[in-house]
Amino acid sequence: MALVLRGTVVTFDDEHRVLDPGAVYVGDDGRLAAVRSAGQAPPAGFSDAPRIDTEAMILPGLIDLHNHLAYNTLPLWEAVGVPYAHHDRWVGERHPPDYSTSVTWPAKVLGHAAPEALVKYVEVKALIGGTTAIQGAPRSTRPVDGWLLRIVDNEKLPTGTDMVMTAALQLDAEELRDTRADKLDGTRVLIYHVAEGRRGSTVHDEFVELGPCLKPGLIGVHGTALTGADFGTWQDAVAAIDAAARGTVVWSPFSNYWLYHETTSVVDADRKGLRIALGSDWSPSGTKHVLGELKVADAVNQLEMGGHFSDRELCDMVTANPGDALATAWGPQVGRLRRGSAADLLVLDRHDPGRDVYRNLINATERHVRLVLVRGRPFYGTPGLMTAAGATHTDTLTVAGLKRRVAVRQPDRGDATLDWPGVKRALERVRADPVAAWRSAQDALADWGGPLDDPEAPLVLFGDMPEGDAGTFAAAAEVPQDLVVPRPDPLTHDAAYFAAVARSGVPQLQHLAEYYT
Amino acid sequence: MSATVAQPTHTLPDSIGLDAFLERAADDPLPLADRHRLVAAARVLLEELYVHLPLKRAMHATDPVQRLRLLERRLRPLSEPQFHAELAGVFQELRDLHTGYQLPDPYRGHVATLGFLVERYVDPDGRPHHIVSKIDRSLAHAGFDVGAELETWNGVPIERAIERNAAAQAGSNPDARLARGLESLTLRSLRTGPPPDERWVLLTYRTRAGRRRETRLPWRVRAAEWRAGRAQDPVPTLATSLGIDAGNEATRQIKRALFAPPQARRPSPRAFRGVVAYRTLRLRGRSYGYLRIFSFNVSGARLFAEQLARMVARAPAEGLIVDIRGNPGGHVPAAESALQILSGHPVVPVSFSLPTTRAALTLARSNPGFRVWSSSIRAAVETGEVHSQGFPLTDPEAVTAGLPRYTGPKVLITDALSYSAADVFAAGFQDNGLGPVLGTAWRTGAGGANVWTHELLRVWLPELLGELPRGAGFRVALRRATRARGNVDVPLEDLGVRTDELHELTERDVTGRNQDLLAAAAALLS
Repeated sequence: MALVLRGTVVTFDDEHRVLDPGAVYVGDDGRLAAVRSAGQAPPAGFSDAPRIDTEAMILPGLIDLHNHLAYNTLPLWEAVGVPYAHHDRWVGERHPPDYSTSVTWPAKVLGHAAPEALVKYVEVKALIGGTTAIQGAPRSTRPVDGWLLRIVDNEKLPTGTDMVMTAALQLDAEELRDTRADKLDGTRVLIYHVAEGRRGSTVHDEFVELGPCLKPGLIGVHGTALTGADFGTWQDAVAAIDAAARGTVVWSPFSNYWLYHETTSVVDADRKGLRIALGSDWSPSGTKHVLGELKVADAVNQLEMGGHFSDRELCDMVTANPGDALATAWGPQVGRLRRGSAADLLVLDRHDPGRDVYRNLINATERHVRLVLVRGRPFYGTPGLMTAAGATHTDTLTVAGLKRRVAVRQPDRGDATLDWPGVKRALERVRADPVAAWRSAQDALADWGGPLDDPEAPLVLFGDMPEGDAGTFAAAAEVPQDLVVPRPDPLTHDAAYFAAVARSGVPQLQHLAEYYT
Repeated sequence: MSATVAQPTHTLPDSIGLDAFLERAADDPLPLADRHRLVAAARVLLEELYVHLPLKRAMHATDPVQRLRLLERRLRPLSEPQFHAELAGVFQELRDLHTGYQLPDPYRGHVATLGFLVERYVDPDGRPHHIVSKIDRSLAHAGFDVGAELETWNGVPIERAIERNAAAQAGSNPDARLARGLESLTLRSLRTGPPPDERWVLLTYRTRAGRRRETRLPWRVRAAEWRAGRAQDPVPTLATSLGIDAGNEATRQIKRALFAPPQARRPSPRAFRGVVAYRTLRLRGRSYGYLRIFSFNVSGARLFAEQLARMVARAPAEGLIVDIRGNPGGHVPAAESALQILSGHPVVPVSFSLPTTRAALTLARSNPGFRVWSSSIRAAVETGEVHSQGFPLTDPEAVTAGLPRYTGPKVLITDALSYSAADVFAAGFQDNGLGPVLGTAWRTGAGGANVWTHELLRVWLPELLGELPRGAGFRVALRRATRARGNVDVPLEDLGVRTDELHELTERDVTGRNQDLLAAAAALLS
């Protein structure tokens, strides 16, 4: 429905205007009809639209450009072998808590036995942090194109065609050169994990192999092993094709420090002209959502980078920058509020009126998220705002001690029927007896001889990360008899999370807790 | 012979006429663009992902890729049945029951049947006989009943008719083709091959009383498997460890529905009682266990192994006869876990290799479960190998941990329809020294691969494989199986397992309860 939101509008448009008070006009088509000062006349068709005075900041919904949804119900993995040299090393961790027991198996069982519940739980977790678009869709037997959020990998904007290619596992050099590079023709993007590891490690070779794809549209995830010269090479290659274009690096500082005790040289990347976006990465080595990751970036920026990035630039990393990176493939802009943009919105308390809007966003916690709209529809927020925004079929949940409502079941979606209590029950059922749940899922699969895109067909999610030593057992369609599926990762950065961070002893991560006290 | 041609007074229950079925199919033909999509998809699969392509080109002097190129150019004038027959024919030439075109709706989930089965035995003089071994009771007429011996088929001597039918089958060795030719005389899956050309068959036969007669029987079409109101394949769409002849699994299930005792006709397709049975036999004064494994088409290895372990725990110490005749295969780890239950020592599983193509490398890179294969595929640019390094699909000892084993003497009975996962089982039985293999043909069906559906491959290769129209599909042999221990690196495809002893079925075997076959098996146990 058409809707008008009034408040302090932080546009992230080209001039980074802040309209205070301002108004955002949400059209029936899920796009913004206008973004104006509150005193200006409404656009045509909005004179009778419901109007909500939020008394809060209105921002673009946050964009998490690096995640792995299939694993995001899992808690932090406290691996003993840190720091690892690169991404192939922790996969082989066999000391308890080993990789396959802690990560591969629980995710695999949930992806088979409770796929809808898994995705919806992860989507709710992201919504609570103000996220409206998230990257990292698992492979699946039919596309999961966003029951709640925009799933970047599967989103079909604007032509109904998926223009986003992703690869969390490295592709072969010939595939990159002969196939993917050609597809980066200015209409598609490739989100690609590259050089994830410590500087000087062998994963640097991945960047060399990626050479033919150093074109506009490439979004490189991690790049922790890259040097300033590498970033220069990258941006020069992009600019040689389109002088106005910028390459994009996705920065996940928490995960980098957790696994490698180092992070990407984003200052060098920025100096070379690359665009920086943030990603919270998967929960075994990441923050709960990109709002949490923003704080890690802020702390690292202040303590390790001499405050190279301004508050506004940090905030751009979860809004305008990823939005611009995706604009190559998507028609409607995300991450910036202007006429025609996607109506993906975050309403956030201006909890510290003495500081500017960007510092308010950086310091905001889950308690300060008041409303989240995706495609112009309310999915999460305070009971009052959800009702005012016309939300239906909502369930109550408590977030950081506050009552919130969430719209998990969309009556118009025939391929997903669980509400929030149903999501929790489904996950708990798997946890209670993972072996039985797995076998029941296998029976359902074995019984289905029809097409996989049939809504009645069993949905299966496949992880996009390496499996460790689970392979031969997994191929037998079996699971370890003593498998334990952990309790779903809490939705907020809570005491248990900070206790795990404290146990890690990684200095750069210890400041995160301070934002939540 | 009587001057009149008999015919049954009833039609086969729950069936429709072939004409009526084909008219329905012709009402809504595939648009030309959809035909192009299907042929293009077939080319990608065969060129890029079909693991046996080099072998098939060499062994059968066939070039399926070129045939598909030509078909692409000649699509327009083909009628609907001609198109399906042409495309199916390309795959048939591969002599590979794993790899095939699956016709779209409405063919999916249907079989054409004459309502009876024919089995063959050879008498002591070496003369073959072809006997009606099963018949739907509604079709018995004029002495055309169990035990009737066929003489001609549409005017062609029956032996020659079977040979001709066998030549059109995809079985990879002569024994397998003959067995398939015999079976497909009366039963054909419409999902995996074109419907019969003839609408009825004219048969001359001798009744059990020795009277020579003639009858005319119509082809009828029956739904093979439906679930949730939809036509389904009898083999899962989404299974990564399958080695199975999907067409034969369809006919196995329709045979069960038509001819099994009423209480056994409607099991869930993958229920254990549909795939395995056990009883104790008394032969020449001694007791033996008899384990009949009809199929390995189950959902997982561990539960199957548990079921088997419970069954064989009852087997006498004198010996166990394991019978996998007609087994079209299924879940490879289940087959290898079953082997482990029958062995006191760790069994060495077969190994599987991928083709060393670009698409296979992309698959190995993007599917975490395939990572182990990627380095040798990549190295093939320099080594020139057409197959990757081989790795087992599973560890049978780990899967069966804690389960009791049967360590007494064993003999395995096979036939030319024992296929794929059943080939793997037979090879493992022989290679791991579990006991002698007694065949009713010299070789097993010779299907040596792990088969994937186009739809499942699309999950990992969305850039390469597009959507197919109307539920049409393909199955493709993706990973090649090679044997272990003394036969290490010997492929199963086209070779199968050569039996240690041959027993040609007798009349008593065919019309009775396999008495002579079981006696021969028992003799190998003593």
